[in-house]
Amino acid sequence: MEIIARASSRTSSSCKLIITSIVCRRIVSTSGLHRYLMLNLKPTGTSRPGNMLNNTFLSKTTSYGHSKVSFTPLSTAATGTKEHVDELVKKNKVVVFMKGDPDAPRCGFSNAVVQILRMHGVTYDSHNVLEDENLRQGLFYFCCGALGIKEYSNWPTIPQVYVDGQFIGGCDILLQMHQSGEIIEELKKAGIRSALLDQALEEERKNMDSKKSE
Amino acid sequence: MSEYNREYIADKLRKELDATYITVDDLSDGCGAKFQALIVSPKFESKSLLERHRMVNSILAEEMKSIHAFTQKTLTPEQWKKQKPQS
Repeated sequence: MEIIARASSRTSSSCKLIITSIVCRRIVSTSGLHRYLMLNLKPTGTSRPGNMLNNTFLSKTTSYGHSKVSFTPLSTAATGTKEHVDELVKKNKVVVFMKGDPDAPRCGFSNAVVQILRMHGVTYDSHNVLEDENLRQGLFYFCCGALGIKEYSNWPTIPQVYVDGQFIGGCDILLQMHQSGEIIEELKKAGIRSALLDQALEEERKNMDSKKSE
Repeated sequence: MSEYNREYIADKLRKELDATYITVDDLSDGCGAKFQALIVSPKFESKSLLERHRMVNSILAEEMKSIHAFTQKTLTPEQWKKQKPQS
């Protein structure tokens, strides 16, 4: 302090003033701290604080005022919680969790799901997990209970397709259901008529007509 | 980088599912994180597609953590017999 004060004395007297006031305040604050410690910390042990095993020599006994810190529970606002996903999957008859958007899928498997649903003329909600790490991995499970979509359905991969709030499968299952025609039944259960069914009927009718005309 | 190769995965699945036929293809160009499997097992009998896939997923739960993509076809021996002549 002395050195700084001496050095600054060369520059200006006002600076010197500030420094002396800092030094003074420091002394005041040290005694203030001492008083604070005496007032707020109650000695409870016999040995010196540094030598105590659990250092319980000093324990805080007073609290200041009534300031209360309140934490807004994040769980209500957080994505990827069970409640949140429950809500999402019930918002529409068909809900897809995928990488990217239907217009620009960012993964071949997600793309396949989009293509299949498009073929069947299904309108659906899609959620891009790449935009929500909480939804994808349940990143903040510890603080707000976000499970992530994989935990939610106990399914290790994305995309995930839900019909009527029920998980029906990922890309493989949807593809196989598409190939076997099972998907048409599944959609029917949810009250959705597959566009492929209409197409097939249309073709059949045409075939019948052409046969008739022959 | 995954430490699993296709033989390991095929062996594990064959053992756990008493698979009568199994093929596992590594589509990852050697990094071991992308597989395609065809599994034929009597244990799939009277199980829905989702249940079958869940069986396989639970067997490979630990491995799945480092496998990036796993495509599977799960058939019962009967289904396999029907499908065979076509392919």
